[in-house]
Amino acid sequence: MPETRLLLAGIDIPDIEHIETYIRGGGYAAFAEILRESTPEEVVEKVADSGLRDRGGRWYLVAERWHQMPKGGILCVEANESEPGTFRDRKLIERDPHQVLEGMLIAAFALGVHEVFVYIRCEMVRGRQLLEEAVEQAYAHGWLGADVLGSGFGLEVSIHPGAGAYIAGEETAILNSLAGHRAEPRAQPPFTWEQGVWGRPALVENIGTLAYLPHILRRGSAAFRALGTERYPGTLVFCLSGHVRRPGLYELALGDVTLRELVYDYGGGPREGHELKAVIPGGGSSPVLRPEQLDVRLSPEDWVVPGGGEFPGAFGTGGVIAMDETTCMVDAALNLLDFYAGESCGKCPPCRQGSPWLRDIVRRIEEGNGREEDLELVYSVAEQVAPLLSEQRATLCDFGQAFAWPLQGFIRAFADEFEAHIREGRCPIETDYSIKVPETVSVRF
Amino acid sequence: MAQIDLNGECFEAPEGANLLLTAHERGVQIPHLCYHPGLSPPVNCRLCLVAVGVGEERRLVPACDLQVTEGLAVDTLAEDVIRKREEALEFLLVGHALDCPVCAKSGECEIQNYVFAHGREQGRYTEKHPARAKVDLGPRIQFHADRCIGCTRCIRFCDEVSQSGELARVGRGAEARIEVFPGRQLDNPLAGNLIDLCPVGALVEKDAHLGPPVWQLESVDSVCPGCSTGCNIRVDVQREKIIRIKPRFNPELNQYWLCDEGRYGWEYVARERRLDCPQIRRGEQLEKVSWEEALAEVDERLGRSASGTIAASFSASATNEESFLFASLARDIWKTGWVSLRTCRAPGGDQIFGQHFIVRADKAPNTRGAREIASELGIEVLPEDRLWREMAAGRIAAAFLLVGHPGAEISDIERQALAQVDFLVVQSAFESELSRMAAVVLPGTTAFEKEGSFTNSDGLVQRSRRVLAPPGSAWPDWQILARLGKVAGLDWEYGHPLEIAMEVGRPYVAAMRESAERRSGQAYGGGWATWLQRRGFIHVEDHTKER
Repeated sequence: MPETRLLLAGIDIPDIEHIETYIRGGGYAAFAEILRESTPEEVVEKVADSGLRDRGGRWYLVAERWHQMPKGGILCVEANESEPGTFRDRKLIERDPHQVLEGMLIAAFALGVHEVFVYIRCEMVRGRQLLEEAVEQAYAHGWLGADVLGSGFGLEVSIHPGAGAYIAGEETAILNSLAGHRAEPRAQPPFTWEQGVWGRPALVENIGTLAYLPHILRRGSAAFRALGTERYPGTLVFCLSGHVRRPGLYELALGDVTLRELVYDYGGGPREGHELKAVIPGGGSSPVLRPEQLDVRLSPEDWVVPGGGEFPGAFGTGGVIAMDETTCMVDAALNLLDFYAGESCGKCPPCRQGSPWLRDIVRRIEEGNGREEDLELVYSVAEQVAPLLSEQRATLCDFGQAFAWPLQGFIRAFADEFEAHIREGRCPIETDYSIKVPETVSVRF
Repeated sequence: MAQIDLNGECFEAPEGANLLLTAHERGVQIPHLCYHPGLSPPVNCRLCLVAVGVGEERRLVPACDLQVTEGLAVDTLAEDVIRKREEALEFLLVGHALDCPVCAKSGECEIQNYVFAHGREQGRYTEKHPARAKVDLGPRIQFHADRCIGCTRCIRFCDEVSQSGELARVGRGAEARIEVFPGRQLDNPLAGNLIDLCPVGALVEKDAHLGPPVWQLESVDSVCPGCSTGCNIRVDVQREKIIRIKPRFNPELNQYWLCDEGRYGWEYVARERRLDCPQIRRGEQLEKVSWEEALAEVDERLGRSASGTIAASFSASATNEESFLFASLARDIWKTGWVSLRTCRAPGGDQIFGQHFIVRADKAPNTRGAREIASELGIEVLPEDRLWREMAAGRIAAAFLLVGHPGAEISDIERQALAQVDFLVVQSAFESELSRMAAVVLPGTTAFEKEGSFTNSDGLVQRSRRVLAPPGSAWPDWQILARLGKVAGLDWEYGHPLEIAMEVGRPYVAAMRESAERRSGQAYGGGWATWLQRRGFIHVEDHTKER
């Protein structure tokens, strides 16, 4: 079964990280062309026509925000991919750095931006190195600098390693972090294009989103729109991991396949002698699904979130995690909660206190010290932070949903397993090989 | 102005004004912890959520980040708003050590008040509260991390008002805490405000837990005598002892703040050696005498001095009323032109902080008032060194010094000059080298033990109030001067500084007519918290009472 490869098209080409190889394959041609022949407004129109949406999990129309952004601001490229179960941006940066760089150049030109900051996750050491080399090569070839290829358009790109925080994917947090402050989100409005960073307007875009730009310009907006669905055109790189035979990246047009096809046909299904128990469909923040729920199209519009569709789930970011019967669902929930409790920025109490509270209760349940009333309590506290698949939340930023939804999802889908833990006073899954979280884990910086 | 609807009541409010503040001014409470009207809104406590809009548009938003706009409809009493408030408080309490019985803030704690009024009857949190050690952040202030609710008022104050920026948040999630930057201390000149700002007992004075509980304090509103800014203060006392001084909100003057000099400056009242009885020199010794005897001696000896040989020095720490009496005596009884004003200046200039909060180098509260009153009476105030020169030259036979400020040390020039004077009267609250040189000592009082008005450097006349009784048989300075005038034959029958003020002029009377009472149950926090308490939104909780 073939994939529809745009972003991954060049990923297996040897030496693609060298600018010459990239140019030989048609790289930078799209940027050179708009530099010669287009105005920034025309580029924005082309992006608007393509219907390109954010691929960082929020799925907004990219061009809508570009229309708001005044000229002369700052473009901050978010390469802080941290969602549990996603590893797309990392591979794009490590294998095909010029593709993402060209995307940035096109976006900068369209936005009238002369400074681009790539906020790259500090753990992506190799990726950062390759991206820095790519930027150097681009400078040497005249694709970057005060006067790009004699066009009069000046552009500087700086690589800024993050300080290791999940929350620095949130657009106001990333700008705070970029300016040297704590990566804490702030209330919007004022929006980032009104009040960005260093007193200047700024726009934050996901690096995996920008990587589509060369393809849109090269093939034309219509060709891009031909892929995927009406409201959600294009492809998505799915990150399939967990208990499947062929985990990895699969680039598929949105809506072309179902989640079951992805797990069974592309991923090869569960290992020999095992059966599928649960699938997290779109990164750690999306509520878990049971095997009988997998016949849903992989397009956001079919899902309640973000498309407002029928299927009661959150589409998320394409990070699909499959788990077979050896996995304890309470332990899986605990693992995720421990991640989120450690990553909460600590700004607002529902998240700062709610995430460790929930983690502690779930840990007690997993360790066999659960009480009868715990399940109701844990669900109600999570609902208090953010009710499942609702727009409401008690927190300032999306982080509330990020940890409250998956827990509610686990309890909804696997209430029997939680109850069994409490009833038996132990973990009933004897093949539970997943990582036990030690009692003392607490992140201190 | 914009028309807004608050809980069904429509009224006009200034466009762009903060909604939370507007509501409070209107008498509608919106519980809040991170918001402070003197600081930028961080929107992090999630307690002030209110419902905005109607129908499809209706949503819950933080009131502290909301501006008044035309047609804004706000509901603070809706069921979901009340539930959200309760839930927000539950989360806040998860991270808060419930050690109220040993907490210095207990009784005037904002979260305590809000939880009693809006929280759940019974908590649902049964996990362990992590124990965290208390840390000294500076010479006076201690940080109890397990009580901190992360509102960041303290950090914002250090960034925006004191502009010293020594505080920061460190760590993530539930581990997030306040720390001073390495190698620094929380010792900026306004650091004491952090104790008022902290809505819980996380930032407290190191010895605060040794003091009396807040519900045992009585309060008197007054004006800080520490410098010529004249910050509005509230003095909290218990059993004739000052316990602490807190700022009162004055939008024109000190806003919500008070400097540490003013906050802790009162300690001299009890610490310095105080004069508590009139004394007359008999040979080498100063002997304690009655007031009649002392005043008669002063009157008689000064009356005997040849005209033009009396020097009179009064103090920039004396009240307007005292200055008036003193200047009248100098002009009408002592008939002298040798009048000077003893001022008190700190080295360096005024310290100017954010929001135009100024700590003046002029450390006396009434320099401007004293000068204005002297000139109104037609008295030329000479520079001090002029007087010392006259004395040193032997042209002065008698001198009357009204000493206002504590710990006033004298220089060699002054010492030599005063040695030339035959008859020296010192009126002061403190025993000092000056008082030991005197022929007659008249025990006066500090600003906290008398009534009167001070004129600050901007010309604002404000009432300073009596908080304590004078020690021993000391008298308020105005009373000493009034009796001296009476002994000298003037028809001075003043029973209260207000009666003096009536002779001085209208602004002084207006200031002195401000109501003054000593009230208990009013010692709630400082600055913004006091403002909230005075309007009945929060109150002092007596935890010894049965609930």
